[in-house]
Amino acid sequence: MNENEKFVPLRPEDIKKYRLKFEKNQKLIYIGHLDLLKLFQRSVKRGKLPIEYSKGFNPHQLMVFAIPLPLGMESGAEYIDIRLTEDVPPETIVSSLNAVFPQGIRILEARKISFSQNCAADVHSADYTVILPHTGFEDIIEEINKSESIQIERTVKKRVKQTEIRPYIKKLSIEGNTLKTTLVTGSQGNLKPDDLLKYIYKCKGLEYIPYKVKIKREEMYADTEGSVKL
Amino acid sequence: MLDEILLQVEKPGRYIGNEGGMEIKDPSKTDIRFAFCFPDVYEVGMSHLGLQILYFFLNRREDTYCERAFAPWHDMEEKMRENALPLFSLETFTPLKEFDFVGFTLQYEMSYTNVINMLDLSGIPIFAKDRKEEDPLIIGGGPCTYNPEPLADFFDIFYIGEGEVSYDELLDTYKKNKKAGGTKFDFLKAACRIKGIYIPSFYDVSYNDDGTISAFTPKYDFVPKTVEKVIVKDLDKVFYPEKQLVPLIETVHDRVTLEVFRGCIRGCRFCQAGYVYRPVREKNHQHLLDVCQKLVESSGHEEISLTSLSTGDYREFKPLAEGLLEKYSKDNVSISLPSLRIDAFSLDLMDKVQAVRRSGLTFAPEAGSQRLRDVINKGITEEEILKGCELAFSGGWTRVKLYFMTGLPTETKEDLLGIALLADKIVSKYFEIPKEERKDKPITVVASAACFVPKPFTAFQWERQSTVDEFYEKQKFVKNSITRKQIKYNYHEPELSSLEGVLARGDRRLSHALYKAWQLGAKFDSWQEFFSYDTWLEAFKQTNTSPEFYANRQRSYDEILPWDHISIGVKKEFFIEEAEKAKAEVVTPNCRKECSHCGVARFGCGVCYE
Ligand code: SF4
Ligand code: SF4
Repeated sequence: MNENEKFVPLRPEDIKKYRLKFEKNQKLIYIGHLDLLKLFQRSVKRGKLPIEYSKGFNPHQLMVFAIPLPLGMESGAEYIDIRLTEDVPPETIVSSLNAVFPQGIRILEARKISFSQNCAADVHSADYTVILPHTGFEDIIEEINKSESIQIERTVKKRVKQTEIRPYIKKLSIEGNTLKTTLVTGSQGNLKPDDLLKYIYKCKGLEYIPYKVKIKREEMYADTEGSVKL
Repeated sequence: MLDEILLQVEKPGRYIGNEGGMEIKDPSKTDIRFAFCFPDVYEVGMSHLGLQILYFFLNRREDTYCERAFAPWHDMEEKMRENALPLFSLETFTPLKEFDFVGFTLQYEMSYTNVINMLDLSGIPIFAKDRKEEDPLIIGGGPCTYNPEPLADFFDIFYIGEGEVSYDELLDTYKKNKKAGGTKFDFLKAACRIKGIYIPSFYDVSYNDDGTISAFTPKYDFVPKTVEKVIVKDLDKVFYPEKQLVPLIETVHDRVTLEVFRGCIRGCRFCQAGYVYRPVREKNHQHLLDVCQKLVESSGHEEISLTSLSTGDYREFKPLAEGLLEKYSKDNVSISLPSLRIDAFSLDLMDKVQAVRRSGLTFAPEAGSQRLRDVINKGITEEEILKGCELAFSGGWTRVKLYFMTGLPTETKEDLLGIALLADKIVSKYFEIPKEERKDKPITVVASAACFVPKPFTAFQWERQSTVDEFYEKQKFVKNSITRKQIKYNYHEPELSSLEGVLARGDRRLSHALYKAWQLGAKFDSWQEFFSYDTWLEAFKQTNTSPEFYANRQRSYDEILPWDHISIGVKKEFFIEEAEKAKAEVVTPNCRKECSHCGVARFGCGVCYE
């Protein structure tokens, strides 16, 4: 650091943070999380948004995703927080990014948020819609809804572990082959739809083939009950 | 079904197109559909500048839709074959079979089996003679078309030279013929009169008893005897895309690539690129800065790379480099520099560019002794290298990379020993610096040795290549003569280079061996993990092909070479002169110092008229 460049602590009002909601669908579901991050980094530059960089030897753009979207999953509501060096009207953020995004990714809305907010910490649950290749799961869904405890086996660091997942299932319903669910999601607790589906298939004695199933994340919430939008 | 397949393969992002900059057109409203194929995996092909240029060049025509296809990775190929899904374009997912043209860019010999495999995956008959009127025309371009003979039986057309020159005429001719209801033959007949267009099926080849060519003759009187390459005369005026395709997944090079000139003034005698791209034609640096600005803005890339042969020879290098630094260093856009001649200016420049420091200094002496460097006309001296290192060491640099070749013509043990000696002298140079200034940083010198492959259109096109065993012996000898622990020695596996040697100077009869190798499972040969030398040896055996005939045989000046009907503008007599000067250890000055009248001046442009 330069000698006469004194360290001035940032005041909260100096921090210009925006939360963007976006959808990811069509062929874009086949790019993974890191590639999506790259896409955002380039698009922010192409869209000429005054992005803030981290200080230090290897400066990077200040942006954070709520939670990675698994490759192959569609989403109608992903969230990312970005920091800008100056205020930009949210409509401008939306339009300048959408102008440069490829087909399959689109910003739905943007809003200014306070400096202390962070979508990765804020997210607590999410809605999913699943299209299954089979029908006839009503009984199992009912059973799950009635039960107090569900144990599944999960491999964590190469070791099989018994995990209690019932508290993570907040809502669950099925109609025909369309399953809807609200699951606890985020850094303080997380149940992947895949794990739930595996369990359901196991109960039915059917083989679970991930690529035959279509999953879409519909919304993310700041509470575990799925009522306060992120 | 494609969706289900994509969920089962590694990196499905390779097969979905949709990149930034991708052209979107309505195929039903275009007259010509052109599938541009790169016979390697997506990440490699997308990093290739030629693809980017030609893609936008062809698409600037409203009547043409140029789309892309790459070699699917093994897992994808397996799924495609399982589900009878033909190879498709990334823009519209159209099967390649439905295109008017399927064009392959031929960048290296080791991608030939992938060409065959891609045709097969498309359901297109592999041999040109088996294709029907409704099948696409298969066209090849790129550096390997300077000797396209091993592929002659698979292709309808080869395009010799730079794409910007004749493609418009070729496509116009195609359109006219299609409208007039002409046949494929009618089109090829008209096409063979276009500059740079070579129709292999219009020639007959006959052979002597010893296997050499006895005659190469046009089948019809309208066919030219030789086909001369086409080149762009003024690079500042020719089309250059102001946007780039920006991949959605990580590729080999995710950056803005700026081509600052074409050609090379140096004339190293082993270097095909240095001869076939003659003469040097430079772009104006201001023009480059303008284009660069547009490319950076439209791509969002954070790295700019200058790509040309021997970029340091660019006369406007200083203003260009300074212009780039001034413009982009504060914008978090880094600049990756080519290897430069080391002097105060370049060191200062490299210091400002972080990316370079990590990789260290690079020199390409190619040969270990001054004698052999004179033979190959590599105009770099030991003194220059040592001086450069000295300067760099005192500036705090501690990594040096040296590139060499083994198996060069006239090479002796002393020359090989020279590799070890030079590396050794560099290490000693470092220890000459006062200890306080060295700051205890360890020095590493990496000496890397490739195997020499004689190429068509070089002064060494008649030379015999060392055999695999000879290469191993040479490598071992160098390795054993390196004693200092600061020196690391890497070498290439000779099997691959040996095969490259066969294909590079092959003739039409090699198509059988190529086809057989593919049938036996050869593909992605440039990938070490997939290359199987035994497969190739088996293919040679089954097709009665002698690889030694092509690779390890000394040819005489009067032999008809398989590529003699192609002209790059450099006269054969010039190559003979160069070959003789090599034997006499006499160097040839570079084009800027003095013109050696190689023949290329008749293109009427570039360095020949500076
Ligand atoms: S400097 Fe020599 S090796 Fe490099 S491109 Fe030019 S001719 Fe080829
Ligand atoms: S004609 Fe002279 S200046 Fe031109 S490329 Fe040949 S040697 Fe170089």
